[in-house]
Amino acid sequence: MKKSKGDQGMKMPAFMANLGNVHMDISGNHEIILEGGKGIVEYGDKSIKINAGKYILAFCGRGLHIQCMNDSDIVIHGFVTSIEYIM
Amino acid sequence: MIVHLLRWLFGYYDISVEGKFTERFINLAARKGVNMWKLRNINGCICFCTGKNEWNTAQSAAEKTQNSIHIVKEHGLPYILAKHKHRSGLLAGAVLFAVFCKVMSCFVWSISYQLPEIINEYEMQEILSEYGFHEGAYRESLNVQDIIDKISLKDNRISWMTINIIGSCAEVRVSPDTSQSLNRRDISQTSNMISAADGTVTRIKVKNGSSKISVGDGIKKGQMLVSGVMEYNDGTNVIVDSNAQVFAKTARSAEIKIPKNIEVPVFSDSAAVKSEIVFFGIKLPFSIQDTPDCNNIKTAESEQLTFLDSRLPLYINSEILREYTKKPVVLDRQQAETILKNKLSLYEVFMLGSTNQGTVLQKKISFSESSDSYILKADYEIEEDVCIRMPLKVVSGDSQD
Repeated sequence: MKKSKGDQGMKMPAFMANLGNVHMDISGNHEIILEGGKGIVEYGDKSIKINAGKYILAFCGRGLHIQCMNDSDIVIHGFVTSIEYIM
Repeated sequence: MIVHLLRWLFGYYDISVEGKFTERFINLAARKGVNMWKLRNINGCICFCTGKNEWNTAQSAAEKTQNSIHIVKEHGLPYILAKHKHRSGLLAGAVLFAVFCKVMSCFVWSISYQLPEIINEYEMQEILSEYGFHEGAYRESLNVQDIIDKISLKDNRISWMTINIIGSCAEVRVSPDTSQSLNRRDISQTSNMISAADGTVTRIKVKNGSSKISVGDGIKKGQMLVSGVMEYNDGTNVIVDSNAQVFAKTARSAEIKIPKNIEVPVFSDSAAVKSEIVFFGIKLPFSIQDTPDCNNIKTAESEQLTFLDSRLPLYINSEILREYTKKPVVLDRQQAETILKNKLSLYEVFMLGSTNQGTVLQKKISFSESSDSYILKADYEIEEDVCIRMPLKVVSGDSQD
């Protein structure tokens, strides 16, 4: 798999890394699986903001918490009311 | 589920991190390969769970991001073992239990039977015990196929048999040999049918042979009813194995006496019970009472315990001893009649069982009394199959050329 310079340590395929996209699986409004995130910007009960590279993903709702995470994948549980792309 | 089990097996911590830059700590810890789960933000303080091996990495990440980190609680098998490390008896008991289970699983402890009516369970237990197959037998020493072959050959009642051993439970299934019920006989033999009793012929069914009597004839015991020599119109004779049913009315009688003065047992209210529990062949008495000195009657019971339709190797054997005293009683006529009729009923059962498809056509009962006893006489007219087979010896003469 070809890797680009800016993506050392990332586990996504090269074409996705070049596009700078994260992969998000949303189950209803209670579970979100995020692959390819670059870190947490803000972590709170009502708002979680994730750095997606070119933009920031903001999840708003209530009872939000990170169920589990590692260096590139995050699983968010809770009652999500809105998802914002902050450019 | 498996992930939870693995985490518990290796051990994990509940960790709390507080400071101004908790998000930086999360990012740095995740980049360093720390797996975190159940992250919660409680009043600005991040609480999460992580594996035991990742504590040092998490600690260094907290120091770099100027956060304070501490362990709230420890979970998992390593901490349970450490907590109970002084209780060596617990570990020894656990090991002994595992060894006990392993050793006991090498024996057969429960045998269930699916048998036809002609063979009862106790009889089959005795037969299997002769070949070493019983509760408590060592599984590896049992050659099941050899046992099946030997029993099937020895017992003519069995046409097919199987023994399935699953774990410590065994199942024995037997199918009966139905060919015997068809009354197949050796066709190389020849025979006549003769009468077993005196009577009057009512029905004749000849399957093979030539009948020498007809319906309504009087017959005597030993008289030939069906001949094995069959004569044909062309003058030839053929000797066959005769097979027939000849029903005749026969007479039977019975006389039953009982004395007027008898002794009846009177049981006391108390009873001595001796019970024992049999566990893996070991007998442990748990109820012992003295045997009564005077006359007593003993009844024995054995009950095997079951659990969820599986028989356990656990029996409760009980012996109940009831005291009685003999009391002389003078019977009146009505009491004597009742007793005599009960005895007659028992006699009828055995009498009919000894006949061949016998049915009672008429019964006359008379009751009389002597100086010291009561007498019941019964005369029966029975219709039964009176044929019995008498083999013919065929001797070949010298042939002349």
